[in-house]
Amino acid sequence: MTAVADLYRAVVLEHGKRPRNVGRLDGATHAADGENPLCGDALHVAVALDGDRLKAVRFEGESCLLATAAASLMTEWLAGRTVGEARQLMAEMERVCAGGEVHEASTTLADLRPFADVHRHLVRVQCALLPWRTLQRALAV
Amino acid sequence: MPRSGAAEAASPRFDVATARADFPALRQRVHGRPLVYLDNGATTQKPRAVLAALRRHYVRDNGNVRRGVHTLGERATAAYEGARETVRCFLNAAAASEIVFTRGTTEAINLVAASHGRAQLGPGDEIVVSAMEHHANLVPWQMLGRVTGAQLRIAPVDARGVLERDAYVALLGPRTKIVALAHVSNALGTLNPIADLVAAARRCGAVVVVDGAQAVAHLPVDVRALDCDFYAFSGHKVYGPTGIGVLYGRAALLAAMPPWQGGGEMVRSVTWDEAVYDDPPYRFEAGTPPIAGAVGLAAAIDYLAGFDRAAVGAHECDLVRYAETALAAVPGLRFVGTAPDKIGGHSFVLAGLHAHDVATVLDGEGVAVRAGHHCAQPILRQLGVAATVRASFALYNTRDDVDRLVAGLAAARRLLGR
Repeated sequence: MTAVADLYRAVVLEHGKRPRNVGRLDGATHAADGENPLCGDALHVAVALDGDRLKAVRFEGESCLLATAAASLMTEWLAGRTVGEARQLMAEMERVCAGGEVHEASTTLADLRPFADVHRHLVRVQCALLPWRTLQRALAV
Repeated sequence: MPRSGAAEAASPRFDVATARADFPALRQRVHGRPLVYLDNGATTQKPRAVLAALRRHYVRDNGNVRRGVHTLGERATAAYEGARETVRCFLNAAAASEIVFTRGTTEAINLVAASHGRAQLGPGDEIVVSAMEHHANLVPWQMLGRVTGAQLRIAPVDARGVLERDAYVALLGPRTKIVALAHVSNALGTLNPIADLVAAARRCGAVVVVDGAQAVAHLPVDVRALDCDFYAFSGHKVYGPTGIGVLYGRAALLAAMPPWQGGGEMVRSVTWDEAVYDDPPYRFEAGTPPIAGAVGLAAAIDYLAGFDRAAVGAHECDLVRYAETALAAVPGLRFVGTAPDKIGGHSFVLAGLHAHDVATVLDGEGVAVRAGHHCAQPILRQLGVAATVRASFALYNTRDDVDRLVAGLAAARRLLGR
């Protein structure tokens, strides 16, 4: 059960069960829909940009606990950040989910340690990255 | 809840403990727990007999087929054609030439769509499939419709996962050129009354394609009794290797079909401008076929033939029933697919928990199940779920395996429950 406990760390369980920033975002300037082809999970991510700054990020949809937790944490981490910081964190998240070490430096933006063991569950990597990849597409528009 | 153990030891004709010993992969620990493998609908484990046949082929008989005059080539050809005869016997086809080797069920169905379908269908024609089809028996027909202008009609399935027979029959008519149906649903476990459905389709002159991927491991199949035109299955779901599958085709139909892939092996003679195609089945086996795969599949079929299949069927039926009772007692569990005739396993969801999370926790307990849409998105969407957990059985599963599954589900609820 250790490997599973590592995947569902307390913070992931907490955010997965009681996600923050769920629902429609009034005043959204950017949005995108993302899907996990494996399970049919679908997330809508909306961002309110003020110049270069993400004023707010919200999400809604149907997703597993891991994707929900990743989305919830993402919305908290990104509120008030610049687009550049968002992209940097996105890249860090991709790297960590691919098995990369969680650097000290990365924790200046956010604590990615809850996702340090996702790479051990290959199929679940897509779950953790679903909100981030959806955000990426939202910002690209 | 029924008690485990006693009932399954009672069958004098099938001893599950002996059968389990034939499968080396079952004797391992996963995350520190003895493996409980309940993802047989995806792929089954392989018995020693199959592993030995593959090894023997590569160690001793490895040559190409129908080419080499040398001894190894002749041995390989004999083994490959011997496998074709084994499959013929397995399906009770009239002739070995009605057995085409493919990569799997998907390729077999694509072969029918690309060859028979493109040659015979045009605008105004109709293709009928059921709403419970695997994507492999849906997407090739969508593609065929786009190429030929034929229309795809979907026979509805009710909330239990049972094909609505009257609506199905009402869809059939003079325009129906192809009917494609699952023998057993991979996502719901529904066993279709396939002989009856085939008969209805044949009465209106349609060519009938049966997807037998989830059937052959559990039921004896007789293509002549079913009276279907095509029957497809995959080796790896019936204890054989991956990369080998079978398309049975009625001789008269195969003879009229153009090739779908060109290359070596499928021709009699070739000039710069044209080629004279070989007869079936070779016409449909361009290039070097999966020789070892065919040898492994034959070994798997022989392995299965070594059992009293009625006794194996009774054992698997007992597992399905035992699991139904045990799972029904899990708080918040809802079956997806409640057809009266089910075979092979159960699909279900747990209230408030996502199938992927449940499957990950089960894996941590050493229990392997499938989670997802099972390549049958339309029917799951109709039944109001995006993804389910599927526990599917093979002859080597036991009531203890079901008990471990149920205990794992309790662990999932403890960890993930809100």
